[in-house]
Amino acid sequence: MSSTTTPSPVQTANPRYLWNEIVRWTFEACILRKEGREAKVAPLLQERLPELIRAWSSRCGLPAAACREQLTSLFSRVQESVELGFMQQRMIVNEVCARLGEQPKGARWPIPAQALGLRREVAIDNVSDMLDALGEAEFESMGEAILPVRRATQLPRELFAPEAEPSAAEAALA
Amino acid sequence: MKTAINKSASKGGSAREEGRSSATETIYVGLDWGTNTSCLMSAAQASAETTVSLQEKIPTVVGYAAENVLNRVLPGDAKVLFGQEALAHKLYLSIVRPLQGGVIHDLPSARLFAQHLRDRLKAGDREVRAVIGMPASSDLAARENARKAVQGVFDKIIFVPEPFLAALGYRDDARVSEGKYQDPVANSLYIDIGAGSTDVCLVQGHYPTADDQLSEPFAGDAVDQIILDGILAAYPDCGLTPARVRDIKEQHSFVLAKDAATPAVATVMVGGKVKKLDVTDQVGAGCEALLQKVFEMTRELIARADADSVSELLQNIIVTGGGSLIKGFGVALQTKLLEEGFENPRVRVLGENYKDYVARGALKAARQAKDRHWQNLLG
Repeated sequence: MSSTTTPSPVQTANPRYLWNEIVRWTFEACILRKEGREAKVAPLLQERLPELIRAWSSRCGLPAAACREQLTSLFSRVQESVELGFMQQRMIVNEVCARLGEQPKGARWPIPAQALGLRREVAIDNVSDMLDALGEAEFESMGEAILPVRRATQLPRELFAPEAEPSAAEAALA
Repeated sequence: MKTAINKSASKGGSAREEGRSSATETIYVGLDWGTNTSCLMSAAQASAETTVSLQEKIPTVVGYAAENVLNRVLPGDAKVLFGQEALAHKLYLSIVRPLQGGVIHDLPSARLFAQHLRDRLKAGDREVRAVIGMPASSDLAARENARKAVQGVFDKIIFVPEPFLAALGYRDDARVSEGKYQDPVANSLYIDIGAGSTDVCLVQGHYPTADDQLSEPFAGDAVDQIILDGILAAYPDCGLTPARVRDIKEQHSFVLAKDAATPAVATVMVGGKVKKLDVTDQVGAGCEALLQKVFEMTRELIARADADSVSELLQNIIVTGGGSLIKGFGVALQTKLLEEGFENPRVRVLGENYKDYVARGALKAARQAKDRHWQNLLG
């Protein structure tokens, strides 16, 4: 049975592909965490990323210490980029909202068609904080309609593995 | 011109003690603006935390008088009637329901209905601040429509998702410190079955985040449609309207085994003759479909809860909303959960007063909101 099982992409892929997947899913986890979607972050941090990291570490040919250093640097740079993306989104949304506020009545606002959900936990007896969190969620929801944060966030190109012609063996594996 | 808040009205002030309200005192309103029925509660700003000066349930209907109605047929020869009065005179009115699926569907009638609510307050020139419950699934467009409907009616508003308000309203703050009191917001699963959507959310000491709630556009209206389709398939010429189907459902809805002693028999007019139709199977099918949907949503949300919290959570499954009034719903859901393998689940149904909890929660929220939270609707 096991001899006929198809290996997963993680088991077969080349290190460049694996590295780029790590970049991509780290980015996704950071965005989801900023959006307060912890339930979606957990499987990424507990399953997908560890599996990718294990596979990449065993194939990249670097010593363990260098792997750790490269990963640590990646995590902090992706976090910085996401923080910057959210800041840019907030600035742009503020600007757009201010300009729309100056428009004559009847001007259309971009309205996202999605339900509103809190993006952080607020204790039940703290009504004031709940209302603040609702306001934040509404603003962020509006922000996503004006400029989705995944578009506002530019990951530096150098974070990704450089493009190179794969060897015949790598091409076969990929 | 409406006046600003009376900043001098302080708790324990003489106006409160004497039960009077000054002309400049702000009125707080908690509103559950429901598709079928709205619940309104109000209190003066300076009143004690537990004081509710007005509490009313009003069918959410607006009736426009037909052009040729004879004098003195309608009370005060009114051109527009609301709520129970509109339903009582529906023969002479064109009835409009301003909301559909929990959100504003007809803006002009919604504005008239909102003005009627304000009139019920007898607020005069006093400032009125309203916290209004919205379905958890409502988007910004729905809130924008609701805002337009109450602009110029209320002075300041806040929209809050209904499950938040139900949890807040259901909690008895005076008893929280009692050892025996089971705090309904400590670790509970709320199921709110409205007209347009069913919302299920985890409330574990904090307000539900986006991940703690599920919302499906399958609720009372969908049940009505299933019943109507079933009846029309069996009795094609019965001429039933959606409004009549809703009446039938409200009288006869059930889940679990059919109760042979009380079959659902609907009286309808066919070709000008009164006929009695047995619609037990059709009503049962609609209610069963809702039960199955609620069960699936409940199961999914339990799976999302922290494993350590599940056994306590299963003891506090709370069903609210119009759908909770289906006969046997709580027991049937409990049975399905038990059959699925959940250990000792306990489902509580809030019953007829479910609307009060949202309005009471809204009034609580109004009292605790800071100035920065209120959206100003003047101008």
